[in-house]
Amino acid sequence: MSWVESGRRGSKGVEARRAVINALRLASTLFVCASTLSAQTMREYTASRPYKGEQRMTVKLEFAAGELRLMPAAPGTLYRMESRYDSERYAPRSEYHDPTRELELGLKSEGKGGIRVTNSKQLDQQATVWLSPEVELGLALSLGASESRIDLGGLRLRDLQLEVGGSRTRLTFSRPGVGSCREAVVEVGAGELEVDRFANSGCSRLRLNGGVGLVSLDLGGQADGNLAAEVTMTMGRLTLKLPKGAGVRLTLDRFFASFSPAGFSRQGEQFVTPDYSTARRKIDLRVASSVGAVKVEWY
Amino acid sequence: MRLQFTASKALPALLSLIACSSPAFARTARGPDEVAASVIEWLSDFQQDLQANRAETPQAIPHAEANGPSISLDQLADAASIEQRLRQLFEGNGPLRLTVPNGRAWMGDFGLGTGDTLRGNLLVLRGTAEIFGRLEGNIVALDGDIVVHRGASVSGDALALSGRVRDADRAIEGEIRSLSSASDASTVSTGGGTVFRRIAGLLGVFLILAAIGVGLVTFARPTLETVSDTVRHSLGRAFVTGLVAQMLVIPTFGMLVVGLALTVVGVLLIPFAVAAYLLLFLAAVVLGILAMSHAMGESYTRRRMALGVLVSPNSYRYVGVGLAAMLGLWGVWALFGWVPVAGTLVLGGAAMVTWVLGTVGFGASLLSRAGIRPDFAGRLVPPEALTDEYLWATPQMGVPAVKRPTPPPK
Repeated sequence: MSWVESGRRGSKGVEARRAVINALRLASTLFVCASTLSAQTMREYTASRPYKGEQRMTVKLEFAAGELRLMPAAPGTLYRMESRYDSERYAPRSEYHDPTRELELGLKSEGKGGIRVTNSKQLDQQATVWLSPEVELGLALSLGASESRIDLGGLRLRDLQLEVGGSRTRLTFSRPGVGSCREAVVEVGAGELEVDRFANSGCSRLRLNGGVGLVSLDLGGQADGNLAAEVTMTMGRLTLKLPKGAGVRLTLDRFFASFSPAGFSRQGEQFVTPDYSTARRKIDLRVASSVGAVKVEWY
Repeated sequence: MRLQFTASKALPALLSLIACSSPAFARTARGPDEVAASVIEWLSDFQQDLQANRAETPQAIPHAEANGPSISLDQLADAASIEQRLRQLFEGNGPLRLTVPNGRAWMGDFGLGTGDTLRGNLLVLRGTAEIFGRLEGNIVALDGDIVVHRGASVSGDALALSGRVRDADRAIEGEIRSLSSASDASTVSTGGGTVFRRIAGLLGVFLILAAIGVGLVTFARPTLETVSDTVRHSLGRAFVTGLVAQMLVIPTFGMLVVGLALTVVGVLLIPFAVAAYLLLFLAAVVLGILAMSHAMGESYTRRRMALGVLVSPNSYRYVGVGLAAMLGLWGVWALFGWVPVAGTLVLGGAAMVTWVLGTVGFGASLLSRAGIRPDFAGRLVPPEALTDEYLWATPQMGVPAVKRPTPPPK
């Protein structure tokens, strides 16, 4: 190779390097502009109403996606919701019908394709809801793709309906409620549900229909009322956490589910704890499980 | 030339200057993504300052004509829709005329004095509503706050759009709502962060597939080569097979489960069968993709060698080159997926190409029975084409040829 050719190659190399540098400059400029173009807007919405001596209220809370907290409100507040949401895809809702004492709260999908999977910040969508412990509550919760922590401890529940889609939900009754709850109905699609200290709810009946996933049901608590519970699991694992002092009678209908009857003695088709007839608090459990496992933990 | 040079430097320099001068940058911004976010924040602050300085002259908004714009404030449940409607009204040309049924509209700051009573709903646009007296109705403020002072009362609901409601004495009897402005709420930047996340995810996928590929080449090279040769020699057949197999995957799975459930012993095997089926499916897909990469890499390498380039032809190189080519398309998407229309097109193209390649690879896996059966690999020569001529060919060097047997003399 002659020195002339070498020189030409050198000048070509310099030109190529310049072209690369210019391309990088252009890309970085476009990159900065792109951040502006594809920015996603999160907005904050707050709604509240003061407590004016209402006796009862029916609450329908629908939460399409994100992170939800629900807890008792401070005295003087009937309800309050603080939310942060994706305004391109969701809309907040808060409507109170005074004559019927019905409240609708939540974040509803605008029908534009649900969660934007390309952006993990989407999960920043969140809402915190406070409900008055002074009002008798009929509570209907519908949760979509969410991670929810619901503490109903201390609330005056009249009845409870909980529909859980593909989500992870922890339902806690941290303190005994003061209401006379008739029934709690829980529907779980696919996901994970953990119910903690259910006895504190004061509900005398529980119906839990589990689809696919994991369900942990703690039937303990400070309240000492009797409980009749029906639990159905299609596919997945059900963990029953039972307080040692309670008398438990378990009727199990299983198709292809394992079960270890620790702490029970068998009486015909039922599993009964030794002190069932004399126990102050009785729990009647009917469990149907198709595929999976039923596990009992005593504490 | 000098002009181009100046212009090419000016824009990034200006952006950097704006970014660095913003307080947000001083606090947090360091990377390109943070620079962009701080620029947006600075611009929105600047816009807000401009809006704040552009005070509206307080005045009542006249009622519109019979068919003119109107907005009802009786129901405030859907705050976002009310805001959208009001902003649309602002976009119109000429002086604003607006009818509020059972109420009134006001532009600029508004005050209701102590002892005064206002019956009906109240709409305040671009101003602060100061309530000292009694309002019997709902109140809505756009781009301004609602301040209810001690001793005042509002019998209805209060809604502040891009503003706040201040009610120190709990004088609002109805519902209190506030919706932050789009610029007040945090704006999630998806540009730079998304690009970095996508590139990282792509690298992760590449490394995982490369690791599996290296394992296959090391421990099961004949299998991989058989599937790869099936791809190269029976491309169309492999694609059709893969396509049909994709359509049959779910029905076959259902038939398997139902079939097992109908038998007494088979019920116990359902969980194992399900797991085995899924694993086999995944293994066939991954093997197919790697074999496809191997075939692509081999073709490319052989073409380069034919051009006189000296490279080492081995299966590791083939798999690596093929995977890089396959993921190259996704690399383009990772870098430029943010471009509004082109990004979607690149994504669609990458998905389509990957699907075609995956289908061919999956079909080749099935045709070759996961590399066991080389029927479609172009290796078997038909028996009728075989002769024993090669046995008697004279070698070019080395071992001398065996003498051709001749019949014994009679």
